[in-house]
Amino acid sequence: MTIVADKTARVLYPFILVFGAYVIIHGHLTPGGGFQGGVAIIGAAALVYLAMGIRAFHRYVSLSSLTIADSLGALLFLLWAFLGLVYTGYFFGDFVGKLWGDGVFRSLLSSGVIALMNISVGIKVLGGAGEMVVALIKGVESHA
Amino acid sequence: MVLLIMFTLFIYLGLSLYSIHTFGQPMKDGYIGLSILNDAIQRTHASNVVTSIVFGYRGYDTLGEATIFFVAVLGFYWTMSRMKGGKDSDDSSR
Amino acid sequence: MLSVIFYGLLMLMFVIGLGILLLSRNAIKVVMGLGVMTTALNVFLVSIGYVEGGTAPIFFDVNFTTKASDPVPQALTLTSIVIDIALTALALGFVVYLFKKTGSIELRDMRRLRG
Repeated sequence: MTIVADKTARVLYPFILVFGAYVIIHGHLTPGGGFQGGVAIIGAAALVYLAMGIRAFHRYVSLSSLTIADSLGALLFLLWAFLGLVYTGYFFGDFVGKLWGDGVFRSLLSSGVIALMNISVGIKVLGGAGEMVVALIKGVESHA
Repeated sequence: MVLLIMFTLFIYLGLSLYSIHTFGQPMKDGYIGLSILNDAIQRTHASNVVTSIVFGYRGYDTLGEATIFFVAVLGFYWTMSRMKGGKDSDDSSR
Repeated sequence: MLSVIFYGLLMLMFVIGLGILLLSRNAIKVVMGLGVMTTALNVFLVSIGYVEGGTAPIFFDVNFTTKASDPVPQALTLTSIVIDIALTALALGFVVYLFKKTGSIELRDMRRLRG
């Protein structure tokens, strides 16, 4: 693309990542959550490919770390569910509230196991959608 | 032919307007959203009621949806890797 | 009267999306019809729970006094949108693969069984 779009995308890229991480982590206080924040981070990857070309995309984004993030998010989600079964009697039970008590209302550490599940689902959607974007770009580039 | 099907479907959907509540009034007198709203902040200590419904009251649906997303990503990646020039891009079955 | 117009327009959008899906000869237009249908359905699902004069269901006090919209259809729509993303991505992947195999995206050329 043109050099204006290239330099602008280079400046904007960390801000989009920080915004996506903010939407994921504050999922229990503001509108948003795991799914919305994960898709917002993948927008940064698509911006890198469209504005900076294929070489910069391969330098910024690696496929193996996205695959690791996908599997790690799914396994963490199941880990919180099984820990809830061990400490309380229920699947998906609130074991953080039982072990460490309730936090201060409206702070980051309140609301028990919901914040942990938000972060793990955010990591999972990030890995999954990023893998779809990388596969699509590889399919486009191998044809032309 | 297809236009006839579409018109019949539109009339059939329009007949359901007799049983939908008016747009702006609550559904019934004791609908479940009201009881969840009165109970959610005491029980989960989270400000966002929608997130506490998605991960707390309806956690099994989120587990199933994460599984569907995982399987769709796997299927998409497998389909894209069989393009021309790959290792296993021949359709010969033996 | 307002509710009839509002719900009627959403049902019309759903039926038009179904018509696009069934009557088009281009494979990408089939995926577009699917997208129109899912958008109409998600908007309908959210608008069921609207309460007049209500705010968003996000509170900062433990005891709230204002009216709030229904949060259950919003939670259902979140799940529905993610599933629609997965469906559209898989459908577009199949369209690209069919183009690589047969060389065209007209549906007329993909009807013959090859042996």
